[in-house]
Amino acid sequence: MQFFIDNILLIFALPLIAMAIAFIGKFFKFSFSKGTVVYSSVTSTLVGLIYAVALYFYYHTGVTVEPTEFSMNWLRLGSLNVSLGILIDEVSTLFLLILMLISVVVQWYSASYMADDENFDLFYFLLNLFVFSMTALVLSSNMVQTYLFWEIIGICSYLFVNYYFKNAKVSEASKRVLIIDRIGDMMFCAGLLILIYFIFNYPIDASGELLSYTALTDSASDFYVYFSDTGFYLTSLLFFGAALVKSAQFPLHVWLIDAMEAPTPISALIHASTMVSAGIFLCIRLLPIFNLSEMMADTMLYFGLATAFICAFFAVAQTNIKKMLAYSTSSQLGLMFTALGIMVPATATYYLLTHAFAKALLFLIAGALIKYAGNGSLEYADMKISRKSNPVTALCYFIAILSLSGIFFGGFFAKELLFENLQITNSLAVVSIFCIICFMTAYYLFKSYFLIFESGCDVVKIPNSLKTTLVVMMFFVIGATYFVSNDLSFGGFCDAFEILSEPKSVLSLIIISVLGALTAYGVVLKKWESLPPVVNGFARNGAYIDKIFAFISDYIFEPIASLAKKIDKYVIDAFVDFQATATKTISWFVAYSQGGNIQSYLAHSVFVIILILVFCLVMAIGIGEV
Amino acid sequence: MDKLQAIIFYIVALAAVVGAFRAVFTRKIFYSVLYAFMSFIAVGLLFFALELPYLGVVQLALCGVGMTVLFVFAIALTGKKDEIISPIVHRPRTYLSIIGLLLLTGILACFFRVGSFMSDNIAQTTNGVIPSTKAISAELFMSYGAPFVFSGLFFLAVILGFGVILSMKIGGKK
Amino acid sequence: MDFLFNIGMYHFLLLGLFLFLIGLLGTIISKNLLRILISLEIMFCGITLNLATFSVYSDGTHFKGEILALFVMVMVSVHIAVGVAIMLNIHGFKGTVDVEEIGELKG
Repeated sequence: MQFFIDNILLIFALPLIAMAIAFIGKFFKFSFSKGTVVYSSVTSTLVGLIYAVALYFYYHTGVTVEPTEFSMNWLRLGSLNVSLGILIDEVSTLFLLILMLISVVVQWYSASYMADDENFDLFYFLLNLFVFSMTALVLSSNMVQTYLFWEIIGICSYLFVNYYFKNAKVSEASKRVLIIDRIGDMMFCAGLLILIYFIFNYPIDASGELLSYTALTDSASDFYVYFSDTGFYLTSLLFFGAALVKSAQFPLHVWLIDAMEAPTPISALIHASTMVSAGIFLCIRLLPIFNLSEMMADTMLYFGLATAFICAFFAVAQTNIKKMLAYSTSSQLGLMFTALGIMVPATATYYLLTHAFAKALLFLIAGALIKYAGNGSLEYADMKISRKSNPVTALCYFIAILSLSGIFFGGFFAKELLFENLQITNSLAVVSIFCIICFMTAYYLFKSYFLIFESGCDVVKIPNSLKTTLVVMMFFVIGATYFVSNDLSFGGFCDAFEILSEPKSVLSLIIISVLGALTAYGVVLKKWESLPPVVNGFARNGAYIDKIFAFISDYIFEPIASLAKKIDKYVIDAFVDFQATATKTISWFVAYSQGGNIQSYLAHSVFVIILILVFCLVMAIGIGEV
Repeated sequence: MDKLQAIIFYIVALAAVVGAFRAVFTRKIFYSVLYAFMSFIAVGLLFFALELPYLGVVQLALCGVGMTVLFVFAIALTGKKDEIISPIVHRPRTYLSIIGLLLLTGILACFFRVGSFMSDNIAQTTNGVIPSTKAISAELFMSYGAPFVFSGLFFLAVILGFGVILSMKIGGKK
Repeated sequence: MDFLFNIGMYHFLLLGLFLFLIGLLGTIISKNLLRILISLEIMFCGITLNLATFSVYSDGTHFKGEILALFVMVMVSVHIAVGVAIMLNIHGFKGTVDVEEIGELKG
């Protein structure tokens, strides 16, 4: 076990090697074959997976193990002490496990999915870059390092969305993704700067370490004392805002819809399970800070619930499979933030785990459907596939939906835990909204299943190579049930039932979800009345939030930017040019003294020597030693 | 006696300065050489006043006679060109330089006057060696033998080179 | 009056200074190359005079200053001789000894 901890740097180095292998063909004459690229990539992730599993079981045995930290001093500025390091504890090993598991499956899947793509090497290069930076993020030991890799995964996301860059629509979408991601980065940076300002002005003993997570628990109260209540709330709000943007919460969830232009395996990896969980990761790490402010907890709760409700509402009306899944991701992440808002990080993390596997499986199936059944189209109506011709695929989809909508498997336990914890708040509004969200989730998921797999045409078959990966993923989804427990230790399946204390809430949750499923069955197969067309159109277009953002950027930011451009051109450039012309003019004057006449040179130098002598004499007189 | 010494000194000094001045400010170059000769002889005499006979002789012979002969031959070889000094080209520089130099000497003289060097006598009542020719030769060959030899050799080489160049000049007329 | 009639170190030094400055003036304002060399020689005379004065009016036990002045004088002669040789060669090349006409440096 100590071996794994000592050699933890290996899982940083391996993705970098795979990156190099994938991209070396661009720089040198020879290039590796596709097989080599894939095998190196998958091997490096498999090694990482072994590490992750070993570390997970070490840290989640039910006995509290001390977190291990390695740090290397990076910056020392006054009382500020920024280090780069690795912090291994329960939270980071869990995130690492999710990351590695899903990466392995996605890399295996995309070997055959992207096999006939021309930028295959670029794909694996970016994949390994993403795995590397995400590993460094989840194992990061302080906030600055998290911020650094936060930005890198944002860039990876942009590069992935821009993968089919020859398409103009894709470029536009990737631009929007990047800009909104940068807004989140900016908020993170602002929060960091405020904390750094605090560290500089309030030097206590360990204040230099305040940015590292191990010291955060102890020193969080110092933050609270220093800032006023409002100031503290605003600072936490900045960090929460960064997590909001990264996890695609309302109102900045629009980037996730645009990010669906990325290849589908990437959506499975990044936009469903891993990168969007970076926001959750940050909030869990900063919970000691958020805990101190009542308003902050309430804010997280309300934002989470609002996002979950609104995005579920949008997802109900979608007919585009990837958009539906994107809105669904936002919605479920909203529920995770709700869990954080009521101060149960264990529930949020378990929800994240089950959601990650289920959503990744859904995205992978969606990829197979788009490519083979829909011929590139993403609409439900174009998917020519049925349950009878592809039973395995349909089974995978069904199990994923069961988990996600909270009827059975891991998702059920997660939702149940969340439901029970929500009831502690004793707020009828919160509980009822949660019930409506569960209903809507089940409804749109089962609606998509019925629309795709029960539509009656059974033309295509999904190839076996893809099907294998899907089945593997399905087993992970089922296996996620094992990870349940109140403090995320390795419990067994039987433990799961022990933690559910209230049969009443269990029953009500199951009834709500099944009701949603039945409603979907009725709407699709029995042709019941669905939503009125106005509401449908409103929801399908995401409440036209895109248009609002476009308006803001066209009519508010564009004039400011053009004004800045004018200032740059006429003021700043003119100033710099003035310096150049001033130098030229002065040198033109001075050049007159260089006439080419040596005797005048001599005269000038004699003059200067005389000046120096007079100066020395005057100084000597002044000192008094003539 | 002091007064006589002083007067002689002033006359010789005047000769030196006037000679130097005329050497710079005369039109004909040959006259310039002659005035310079006058200045060198005056300086040589001053060395004698400083009770440095060896140096005085060297000055008279080397700088005085030798240089003058050198310059005369140089003039002979290059042709006597008359020169127009002051007017069009250099006038402002000339006058400004003169005024500047005079001012500077005035300033320096005033400063040095403030000090304590009021009246030291010429004839140093030494309690040591009188720099006679014999003593200097002894010193040169014993203490300063090496520099003497090297500088002698170097001087020899230069004279020979000068002769060579001159012979090329006379013979080849490049 | 005292200063005027008791000749001391200052007088010699002032004389050396005058000679030096006149020589300097000559090097700056002369148009003929030979006149420049003559002015240079006048400068060196002034310098040697200064050196000799210092050697007399400082420690009187030895005459190291005089020997130094001797070496300097010899070096000066060599210097001027070389200068004259150069001048003669320039005259051979350019045909003139006028400083303005032989100069090729442009400002």
